[in-house]
Amino acid sequence: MAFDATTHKDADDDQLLLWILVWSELVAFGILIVAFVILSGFHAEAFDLARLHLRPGLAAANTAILLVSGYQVALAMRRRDELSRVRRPLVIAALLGFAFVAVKLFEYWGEVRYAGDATLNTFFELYFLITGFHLLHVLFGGVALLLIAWRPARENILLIATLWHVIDLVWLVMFPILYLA
Amino acid sequence: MTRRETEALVGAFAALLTLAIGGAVVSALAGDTLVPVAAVLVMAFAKGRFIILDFMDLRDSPSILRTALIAWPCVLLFAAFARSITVALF
Repeated sequence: MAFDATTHKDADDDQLLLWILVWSELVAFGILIVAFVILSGFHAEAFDLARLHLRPGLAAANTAILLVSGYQVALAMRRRDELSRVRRPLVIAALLGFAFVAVKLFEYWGEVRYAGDATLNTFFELYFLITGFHLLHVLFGGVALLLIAWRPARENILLIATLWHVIDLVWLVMFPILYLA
Repeated sequence: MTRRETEALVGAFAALLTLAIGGAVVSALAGDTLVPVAAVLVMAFAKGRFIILDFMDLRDSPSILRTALIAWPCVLLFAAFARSITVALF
């Protein structure tokens, strides 16, 4: 009984740490996105001009990739009591995460030339900072998904699933703000 | 995983893909005037809500956590819309 109580208390502590991590991510991205929104108000014409050089079609494709990946992670999270059935969705989710990284790097390849333009550089500095920070999260999240698929454990699946969905959520909010609004 | 849970998850996934396609089509066809911008931002909020409630499975979680998480996209997307209105007016 005492052991059960300790185990549950540990589980609660883990959840608390998980949500502290989640909110630290959300606050960090929130600050960057608010900075972008404020600067886009001060430099509205330059930001609108810079947006013409973006490729929203590729970003929309990346949205679909992350949504399918998120679905696979949600499947794994719901199967975490049967560890033999979580490997496949976790690996698929990781591969889709790497596909997201590849598409984003291809997108950068066409955009990086505008970063040195005196009129557009404020937009592109923030754009590369925000999307690059997010891209690193996707890359490390993909690696973590593969590691957890290799050695699945119930608590780790909950942890990576929650973080992966947060990365997904950040992209869904960031996409229309950076590319359109 | 019960059949009902599977159906709910697949339903949320279908809704997310529909909203993603809808948002891409509206932004591509309607440009950057206020009404389509508002529509795309509302669709982004709806997608975020599906992620939080269905993918993260937080429908039955403590309401303060759920509300705080849903408030995060709401505040940022509203700020973006306020910026669009301000730029259009001044």
